[in-house]
Amino acid sequence: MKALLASALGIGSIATATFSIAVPAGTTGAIDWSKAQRVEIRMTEYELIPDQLTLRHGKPYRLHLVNAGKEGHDFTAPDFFRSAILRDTGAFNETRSSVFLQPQQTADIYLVVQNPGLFAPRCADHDWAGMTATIVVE
Amino acid sequence: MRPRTLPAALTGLAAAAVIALAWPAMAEVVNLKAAMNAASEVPTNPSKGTGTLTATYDTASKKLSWKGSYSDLTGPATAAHFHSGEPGKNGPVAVPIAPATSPLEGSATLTDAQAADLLGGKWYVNVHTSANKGGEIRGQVTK
Repeated sequence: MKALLASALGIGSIATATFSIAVPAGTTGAIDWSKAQRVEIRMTEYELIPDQLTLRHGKPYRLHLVNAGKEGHDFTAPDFFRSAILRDTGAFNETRSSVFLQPQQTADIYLVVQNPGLFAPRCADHDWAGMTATIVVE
Repeated sequence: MRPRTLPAALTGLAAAAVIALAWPAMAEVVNLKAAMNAASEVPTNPSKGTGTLTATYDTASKKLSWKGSYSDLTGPATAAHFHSGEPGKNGPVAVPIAPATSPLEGSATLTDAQAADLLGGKWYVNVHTSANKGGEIRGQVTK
């Protein structure tokens, strides 16, 4: 799992203990978003890449979503986004549960997941075709 | 016109104004329809499949109810959705249609923003298959 995350982050190893940053629940003011760690998630026909990811709760991330496909795809994860502090929601749908990207579009989602958990993001249009993933928040 | 008829005329005008002002808030059931085919998909595909959908939207309850059917797809339907999107453009899933097997029937409660898009002609319905994972037939939902 960590190897998958390391691959996604473009780094050779992960020292998760050093990444923890205390974040007051439900606030964005105390978060230093400049320290957000970039994690790229690519969407294509019909995969979410990587399909397994491990994150740390309390740590700021910049999810860099890329639609590398030829069709519109979305990253739908209502429970995951609900459990997170979001820096901004401009890329989201009305219910803040999903980010839709046209082909070749990208979006950066800055967030801090507040608690450990297991989440199942998917493309709502193509989940039946295998566009699903697993995010473990430690 | 005799002078004493003026109050009656004013009363009539006032009543008409009251009705006109109240009209937008009155409940209404809007009939909607869609004709689905492969030529409407983005991109198009060579499927001979076709389908129809009829729906009603109740502005008071905000409930969308639909019935539909399709035939001649290249294989079993794998999914069906209402999407937000104008003709010729793909957009995100607004409401899933499950099960996707014909005949289709279901309902959902919409948000105000969803209802505005739907009634503005900015929703489409499509059916997916394994051969056409992006969508085999599609139709714009119109009044």
